[in-house]
Amino acid sequence: MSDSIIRFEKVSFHYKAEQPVLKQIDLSIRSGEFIALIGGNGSGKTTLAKHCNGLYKPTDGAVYVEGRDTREVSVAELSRIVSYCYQNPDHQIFQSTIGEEVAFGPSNLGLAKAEIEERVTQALEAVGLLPYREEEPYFVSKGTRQKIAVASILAMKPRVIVLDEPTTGLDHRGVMEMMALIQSLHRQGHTILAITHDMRLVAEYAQRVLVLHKGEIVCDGEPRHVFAQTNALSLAQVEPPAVSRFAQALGLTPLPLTLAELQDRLVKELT
Amino acid sequence: MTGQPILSLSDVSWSYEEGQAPVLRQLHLQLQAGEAVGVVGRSGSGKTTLLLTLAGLIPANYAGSFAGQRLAAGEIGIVFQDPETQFIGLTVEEEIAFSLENKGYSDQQIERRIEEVLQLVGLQGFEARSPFELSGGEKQRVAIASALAVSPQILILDEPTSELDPKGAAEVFQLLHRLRREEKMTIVVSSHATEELARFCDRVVLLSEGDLRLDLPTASFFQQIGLLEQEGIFVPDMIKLHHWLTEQGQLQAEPTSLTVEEMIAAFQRMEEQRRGRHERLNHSL
Repeated sequence: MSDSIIRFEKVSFHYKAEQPVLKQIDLSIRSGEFIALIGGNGSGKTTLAKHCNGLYKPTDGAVYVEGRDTREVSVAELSRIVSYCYQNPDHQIFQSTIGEEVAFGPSNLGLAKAEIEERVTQALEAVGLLPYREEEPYFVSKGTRQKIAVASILAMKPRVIVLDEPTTGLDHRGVMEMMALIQSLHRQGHTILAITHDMRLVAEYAQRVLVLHKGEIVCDGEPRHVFAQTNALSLAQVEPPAVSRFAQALGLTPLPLTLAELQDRLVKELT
Repeated sequence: MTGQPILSLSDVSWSYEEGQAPVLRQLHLQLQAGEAVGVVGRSGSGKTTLLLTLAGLIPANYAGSFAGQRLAAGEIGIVFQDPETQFIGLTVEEEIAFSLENKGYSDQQIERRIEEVLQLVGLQGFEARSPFELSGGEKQRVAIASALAVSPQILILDEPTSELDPKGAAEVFQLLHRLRREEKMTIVVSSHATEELARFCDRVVLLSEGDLRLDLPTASFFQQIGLLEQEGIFVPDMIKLHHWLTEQGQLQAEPTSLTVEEMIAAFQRMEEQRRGRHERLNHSL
């Protein structure tokens, strides 16, 4: 497709030949999409995500980012276009102030000081941490460390942001804040690919869902369509959100995804 | 429930440093034998501190300022959020043996107890495995097995599923259900996973900045939707749906649906009643 920003062509990947992690994946990620990548433990989610910016290279097939084969471009070069946010923010935080942490990426791009300064300010502002620029990044809550990790990525001004379980370990308010941040990045034009186990978030935020099972994409579509595929989901060890399960038992189609949608439908059914 | 509590805190306050704002404030909490109690609250609300205090690790192992009284009538096992931080053995067997050796069990008793607790947590055959190489759910079950080795009556778990995927989380809660049912274990568990707590607990308490804001049976607890949402606690959608249908005059408030299955059953009852009303109406016309 012409507007695809990342394209997987028959991508296979293995650490050991007898244990393929990804099998012949064909996938096109279009500019501006908000995609959730879901699936059970060991289904290949993180491996697939790490192919998007060349952190992993396919054993077979090819991944193209803006039309360029990821095997032929450095990760540093690719990270200007696609940035990867680790599941555990502590795996990427290592500077002594929050400001320095966020400046690290753009500094490595060889940008002018003023440009770096501007990017750091913008990125910290976007995640609501500008007042904490001079603080140490270690002694803050996990939610805040997660935001620092996102800011570090924003400072690279990537077109695509890949997030590996951005809400794991956060409390409910932390989850809502992180999702509001990701949604606002999406509205500003970033393409989002997020790995998550939280199906309520998938239902509420994602435009497209990829279900991975044993290294293959077994479902690909809008959440409403995907959450109705109960057999494929149960095979992939994915349980749709409570609202969808309840609506399915009532035989409601198209499937409501959120409580508000379900209430709207019930009002009609009950009157 | 009546009778002597198995564990109680009376008027307990605690600060990690003398003169600093207390992390727990004049807290009263009683546990009856066999109860399952959930602890919810935002990150930083004092949940971990409360659990450490219930376990007696505060004030015993911490410097700080303690006031009030704690009474425990049983042995206590504790499990933390990240099981790796408590692993010291190179194999699952060594890991479980550690607490038993400290208590002076004989080699023969240790061997028997390892076999028993591994069976209890469903990890038979894992004796020689490294605990670090297991899946998240298996690691947490090893941590629970270690806590169970010395045969506690009370098991305290601090966010045992927050770092696990849904499969691992389901494994841990299935095990907790089993420990309640088969071992009559008293269980205290803190978690942000309110859907799981609603399914598992007899009672839930809400901590907010060191105050015990709510202490109610599970159904009544989750009916406090306004307060819970104000405190940043996720109220499961099925509970909110039941509450909304009650407000619409469609459902009785009790029994509150806590799960999808209960909500489906309540909805079916509601539909039958509606049909019944229609039929009576048609009949009388």
